[in-house]
Amino acid sequence: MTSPFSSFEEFSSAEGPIYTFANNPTVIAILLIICALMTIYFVYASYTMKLDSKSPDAKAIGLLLVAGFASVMGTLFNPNTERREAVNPRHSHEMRAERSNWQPLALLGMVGLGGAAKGRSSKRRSSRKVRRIQ
Amino acid sequence: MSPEAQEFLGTFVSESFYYWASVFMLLIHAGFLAYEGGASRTKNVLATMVKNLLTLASVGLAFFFFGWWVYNAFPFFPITGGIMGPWTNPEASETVAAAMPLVEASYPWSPALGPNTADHLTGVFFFAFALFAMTTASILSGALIERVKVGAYLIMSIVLGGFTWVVAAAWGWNPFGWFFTELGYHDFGCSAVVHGVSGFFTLGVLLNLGPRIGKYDANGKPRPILPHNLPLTMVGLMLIFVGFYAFLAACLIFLPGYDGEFTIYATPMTLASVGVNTTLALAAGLIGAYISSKSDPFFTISGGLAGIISVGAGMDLYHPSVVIVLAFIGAFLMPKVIIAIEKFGIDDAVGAVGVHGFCGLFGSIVTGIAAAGFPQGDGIPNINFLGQLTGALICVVLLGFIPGYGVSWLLKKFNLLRVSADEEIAGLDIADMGAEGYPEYATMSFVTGSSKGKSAQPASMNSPELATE
Repeated sequence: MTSPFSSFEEFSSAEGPIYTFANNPTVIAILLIICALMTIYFVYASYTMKLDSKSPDAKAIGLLLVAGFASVMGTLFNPNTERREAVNPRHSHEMRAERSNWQPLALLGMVGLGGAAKGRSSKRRSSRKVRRIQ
Repeated sequence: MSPEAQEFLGTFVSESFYYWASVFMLLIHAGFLAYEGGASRTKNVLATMVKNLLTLASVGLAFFFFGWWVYNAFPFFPITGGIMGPWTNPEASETVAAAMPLVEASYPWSPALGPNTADHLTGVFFFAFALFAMTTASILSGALIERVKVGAYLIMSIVLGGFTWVVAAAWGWNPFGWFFTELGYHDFGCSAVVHGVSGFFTLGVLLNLGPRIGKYDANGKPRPILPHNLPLTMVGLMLIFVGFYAFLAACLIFLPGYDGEFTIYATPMTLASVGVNTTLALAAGLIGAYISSKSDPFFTISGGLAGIISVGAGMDLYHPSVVIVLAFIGAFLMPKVIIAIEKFGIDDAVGAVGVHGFCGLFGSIVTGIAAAGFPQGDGIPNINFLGQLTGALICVVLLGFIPGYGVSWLLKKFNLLRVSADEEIAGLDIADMGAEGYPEYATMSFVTGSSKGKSAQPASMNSPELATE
């Protein structure tokens, strides 16, 4: 029985926890561990969701992190001097606009690269073909 | 503050709480409107949304004329007493005497439903219940899109929203209801009473309605009919989530003079726990469906709703960790149920049978395990598996599937259920509304040259282009 109460009088006059397993902290602890594992698996699965393999490609992720880090560093230490270029005014305006938005875009680029590098498996595509989406 | 003013403050708090909870429940309907509209194809978007909108009218009026009375009149019938009405002697028993004022306040001619300074609460409870009823019928609406006649839907919405779910509520979500008094049935968030009934009613209708033209190939293999606007569908579901916070809050009972918060079964609870458990059910449901469906966008977001429904019946009692586990399980299974139903040749356009029917049934039955043994009052059985199973099955079979199948079968017999093949192929926007949802786009009518009064050429049942336009 999951109820911590043996009678309605006890339940209706309770001052404190009234939830399931309130009198059994061991069960609560086990359930919380299960919930935590479920959450961790969810994050892990989000990397493997689009792959046939059962584990994320650690080398690819590592390479992306290094490339992303280098991209951020490069942006940070890039001297903000404008080179004179024989381009139309519109193009130079776009370049200035790009330079004013630096690190966040580099970070977004990391994420985007990660998504692009993963791609979609043929197995996933074929399963989607027959899936009815409402 | 005078004692009178203090007393009225309690009335005002109660009245305001249910009033605003019901207003927020309208977001469920804004959500269903967007959800269904997005799920339809461009040629059906207006008709789909108008059909859903009309639920507010058909069920709202039906609930006023007889639905509200059914809720108050049917709790004893047929096990512990008869149907109560003007013919009932209030002195028959103490229980009848206690129930009769509620029955008398539910007639359409009752002074309690009009502006009445002696009764601030009957009207606001009617408002909340009417919104519950509209939600129940809206669940049916989405599954039938793109081929049901508007009139047929209105009739079925009245039967479901104005009667069958109300009987389920009278029996299983009412302190006088015989599910509760005889079986110990507990369904705080109406898992089976609302979702189970409507999901299985929908299943019965779908069997008679049949699939959309082009849904299945020559070998009976299902083909995808893609939503014309999946982002709109997803935003719709987000609105439904917000509305369900209000729906579940409105399941709490707080009346003037109360010294605590109670369920409809007069057991103690807290509104705070509804907030915590709904949030966690939503989160765990999203995860369950995301993993189960391998990140399919429609199934993933439907998982949030599936999670909430899977724990609705016992969320007043569950520890948050129990909520997470149960919501995950219910939402994990939901996509598999929907795909299985589709393979059986049943074209449920929005997965209503899986999300509402299956998860409602699961949520109600699992309370008999996850909340087993909770006492519910003197002479009332404790929460138990058999009571939950019996109540849930009566809801889904007797009050859901059978009426849904029966009403739709009758409508089909008189050729009142489904639009003609020509209308379906041309699109219901042109056929029913005489207008298009996207007149400036290259839609079906633009490509084929069809317009109002000039229907498209009927195509082969198996032509592949029908599944995409």
